[in-house]
Amino acid sequence: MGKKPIDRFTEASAGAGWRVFWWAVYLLVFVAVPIALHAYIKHTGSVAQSLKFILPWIIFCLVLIGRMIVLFATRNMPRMARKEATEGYLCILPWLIGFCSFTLGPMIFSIYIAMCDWDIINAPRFVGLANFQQALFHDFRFIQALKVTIVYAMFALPLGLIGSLMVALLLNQKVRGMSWFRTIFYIPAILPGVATAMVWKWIFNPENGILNIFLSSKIWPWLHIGKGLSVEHIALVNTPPPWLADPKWALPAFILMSLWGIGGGMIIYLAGLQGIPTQLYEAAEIDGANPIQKFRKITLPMVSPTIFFNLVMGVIGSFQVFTSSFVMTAGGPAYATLFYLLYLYQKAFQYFQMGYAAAMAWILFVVILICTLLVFKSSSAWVYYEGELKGKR
Amino acid sequence: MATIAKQEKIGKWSTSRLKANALTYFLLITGSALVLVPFVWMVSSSLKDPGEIFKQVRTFRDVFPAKPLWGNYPEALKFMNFTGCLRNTCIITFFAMAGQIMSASLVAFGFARMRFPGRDVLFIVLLATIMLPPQVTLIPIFKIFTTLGWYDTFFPLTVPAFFGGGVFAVFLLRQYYMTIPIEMDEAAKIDGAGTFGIFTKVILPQVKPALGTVAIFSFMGHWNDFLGPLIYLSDPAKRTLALALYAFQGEHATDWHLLMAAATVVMLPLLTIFFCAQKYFIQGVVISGVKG
Amino acid sequence: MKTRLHAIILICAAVVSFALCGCSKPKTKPGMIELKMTLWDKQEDLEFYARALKEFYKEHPNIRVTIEATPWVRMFDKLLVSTAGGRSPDVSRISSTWFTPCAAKNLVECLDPYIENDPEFDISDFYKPAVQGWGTYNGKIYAIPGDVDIYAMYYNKTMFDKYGVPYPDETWDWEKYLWAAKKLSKDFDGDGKLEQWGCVPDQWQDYVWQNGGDILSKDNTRCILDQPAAYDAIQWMADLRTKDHVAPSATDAADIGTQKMFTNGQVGMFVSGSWAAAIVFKKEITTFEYDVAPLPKGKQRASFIGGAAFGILRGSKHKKEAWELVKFMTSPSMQRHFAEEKQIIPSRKSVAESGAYLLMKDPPKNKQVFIDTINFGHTLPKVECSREMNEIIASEITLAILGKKSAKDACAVAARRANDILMYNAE
Repeated sequence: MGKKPIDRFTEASAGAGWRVFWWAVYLLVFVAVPIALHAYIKHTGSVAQSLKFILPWIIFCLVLIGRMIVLFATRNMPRMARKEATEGYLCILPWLIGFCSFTLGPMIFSIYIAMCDWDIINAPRFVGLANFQQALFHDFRFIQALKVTIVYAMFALPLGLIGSLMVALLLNQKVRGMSWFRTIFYIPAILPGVATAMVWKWIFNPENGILNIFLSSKIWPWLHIGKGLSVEHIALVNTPPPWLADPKWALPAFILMSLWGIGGGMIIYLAGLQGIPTQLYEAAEIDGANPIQKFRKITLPMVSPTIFFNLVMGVIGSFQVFTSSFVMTAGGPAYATLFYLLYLYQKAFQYFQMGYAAAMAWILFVVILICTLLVFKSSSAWVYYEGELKGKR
Repeated sequence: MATIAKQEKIGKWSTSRLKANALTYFLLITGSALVLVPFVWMVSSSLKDPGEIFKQVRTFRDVFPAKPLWGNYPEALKFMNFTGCLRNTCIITFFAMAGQIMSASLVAFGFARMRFPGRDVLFIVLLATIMLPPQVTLIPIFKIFTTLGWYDTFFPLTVPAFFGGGVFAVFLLRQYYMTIPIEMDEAAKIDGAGTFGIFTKVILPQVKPALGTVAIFSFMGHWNDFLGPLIYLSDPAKRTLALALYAFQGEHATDWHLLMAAATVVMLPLLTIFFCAQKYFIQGVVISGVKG
Repeated sequence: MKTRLHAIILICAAVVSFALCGCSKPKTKPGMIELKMTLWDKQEDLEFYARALKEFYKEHPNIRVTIEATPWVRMFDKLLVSTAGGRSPDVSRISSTWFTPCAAKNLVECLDPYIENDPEFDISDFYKPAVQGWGTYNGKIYAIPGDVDIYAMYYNKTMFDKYGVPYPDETWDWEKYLWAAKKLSKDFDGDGKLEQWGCVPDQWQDYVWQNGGDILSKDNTRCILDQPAAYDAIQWMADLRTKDHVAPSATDAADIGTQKMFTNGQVGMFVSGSWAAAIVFKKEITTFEYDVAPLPKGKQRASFIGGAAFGILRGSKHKKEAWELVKFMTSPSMQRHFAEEKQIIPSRKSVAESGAYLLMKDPPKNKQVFIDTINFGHTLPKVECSREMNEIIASEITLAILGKKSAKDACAVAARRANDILMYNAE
């Protein structure tokens, strides 16, 4: 195979020429420039001004260090494999940079911040575990935020999981126009949070919202539903609740609102349901199983990985509720809808207590980790995998 | 499934099949109606005049406006500086999408096709970042961006997309890449293509559906993003649609007819795109859900 | 090949990094000093400032000022974050609501040296309550008050005439107030629900102060809302809604808000600030005549006072010139402009009492009331955590005002929570 001229040239000069080049670069970046920078800082007296030289220098250093790491990691590999490895690293370089600057670095920084008292313009002041102590023991809003979020998760998650499974089962039939119905059910999940929040705020309006109009409308006596209901139910219909204006009803309103969006989970269930081989059902038919048995013995186990996935995502998601509470109630009334992320946002960007907010973020991380681990641990009991074990890769 | 098997055995017009279908249709129609009620309410409120909004709704007829006030829409759009915000949202979404697609496709290629030491470890690290709640890194990232002087600019909302493109996208694409037979790569190598050539000539054309999905979800994510613009933008002229809708509420908190008109308008682009690209949506969700 | 690749990467990195750092440094014209001032007025008002600044340019031809308008709610955030990011404005208007956090966080420069070294600037011309309230922190001056917002009672003259109730004046106390409110509250169609109310008693802090109580102790370390002076006052105010039924409840006001109820003529007495007349009432009150009277006194006279001030931000690179701008924005001529065009009460005694404000033709006629009340003004607590603390307290007090809890219980909870916050911030 003929080599391209440029390759031959590069190979030939790959020896002494390049080696000198790289030695010069290393010397320059790691020795000469810091000395020059140091002198410059001394001269101008301010670090901020020399920032515009420090940053490029840091980038150069990082590139060179990266190069050294790559050369080291691939030291024992033949040339072709080495080339492939280098190119591999190059391919994932964007992610590596992103990971270090937007994930790893911030994580470490954030641990430090969580132990400081820091408003963004003054220097951080180390206070040890004071933020955590304040949060867990002296801050009623923190406890409230935890309570609100957990109560919400406790209701919205099961309702959502079961609801979307039921809807998916419904939508799994072969009837005409099914794709239209699927579309309709899925739409709420794709809409911008602010828009849905505003619409629901209007729906929940105590006087003029469609929900209370419906609840207090003449339809109930007409349907003779009131007859068998208890006193509380009739009271609900006679004086529909003030929803977002009442601390007792605000959170139920949010839970109700979350049901509107079950289309998101439903699609995943649909995919899972469609992956169930029909032979299983036919075999069950032959054995004389009725629909309920078919559901319990075939559908449920086969769809349990999807339930598992939705559960894990749901746990993480229920702690991320922000937009709706921010737009609809701003955490009120009387902190009844102070979701965790909303409180964190307030502490960080309204009151500028960054250290406290960082501490809250780490507590959140621990809580989510524990919940997810619990789900994973329990999964061996109820999740059925066909074929080889999948689980977390 | 079960229903089909039954149908084939029993026959097309038997009563049990009609009964089953009828029940299904009933449930479907009721369910759809329930889901659609908020939309209907939103649009009908947006066409009412202010007095009508606060009138007590006594009959079914009252839910709908007596005479649709289409003028509410231009009014609402003017108040929220719709064209400006639309432009801002488009800019941010476009750049973020472009960054995400370019970056994720490249990174996924690295993980799927290239061999290098530590590849699998790094991939596990990549996946582990899903578990990390974004709040943990929110504040330091904010500090980084403010120190760079990027507060009140679009950069914090677009630049991160170029660096890694989001874990889900990378994961999705990698799975997809791995379904492409390696023989095609080797054929291209024989023809003299370098690694980058393989990437552009072999892989990319094959993964258009997955790229489409990534594009759609990226679009959705950035178009609907509220927290990001809320934190990083403060100049009213730089607002995105989501922020504008929120700010609208601040000034016209009780002008529900205008608010609903604004909300409808903000929802429209998404609904349109959704209807056009439904396939990609559903496909993407399926792939990420089932394979995950 | 590998090395060529690496060299290329190095060059790319160099380009990127220079581009990165280049974009954070704005360019300035040589010779001219550009000052940036942030205000929270609307875009339309910026013309007013452009006109006014022409005088400034005559005296200082080497300075140019660009004005940035930011919504009031985001102003503090923006100042803080832009200072952290190195792009801070030079001068800003500072609201009394968040002046103390500003000063405590060192966001604004201490102005004492500037005042001392400037013989033409006379700080004693400014109302003492204003300078104390939102200009001073820890005994040092950090901002110069630009205007004063003081709260008094607007009343519907037409309604008072109709029912033969004498106009409110400075002799009125809480009993008289309740009596008048009862006379004005009417149920026209006999359905048991009132259509017209006597008063809208907002600002629970006013009542606490009038009753001799306060929110924080004198040394700002403890919340004393759990004292009888405080919770009795709040209970009295809550009773106006729930027991005496002379004020609209939250549901009555739910959709249109109490301010609209007043401008619609449904409420007889409405407590609001001096700013309301020009900004709201001028446009919205068309069906009746209105005037303003002092708030009724409890055990003593008291009213809420606040306002705006101008300060130099610590991130400013031209502090001397910024001081000139601050002086200009609080100069007698500028304050006269504000008074004449926007009915804003000047913070300089010389201007306020000279008649520029008082002689304005627009209602309310009795503007002197505002000026007289300045000496009875109380500001909200001046601690660094005031924004957060006020919110915590307000959320409990709201429950008391809505009648969901007794004022005593609400105040006990509020005080406890406020003390937690104060303790955390003290360390």
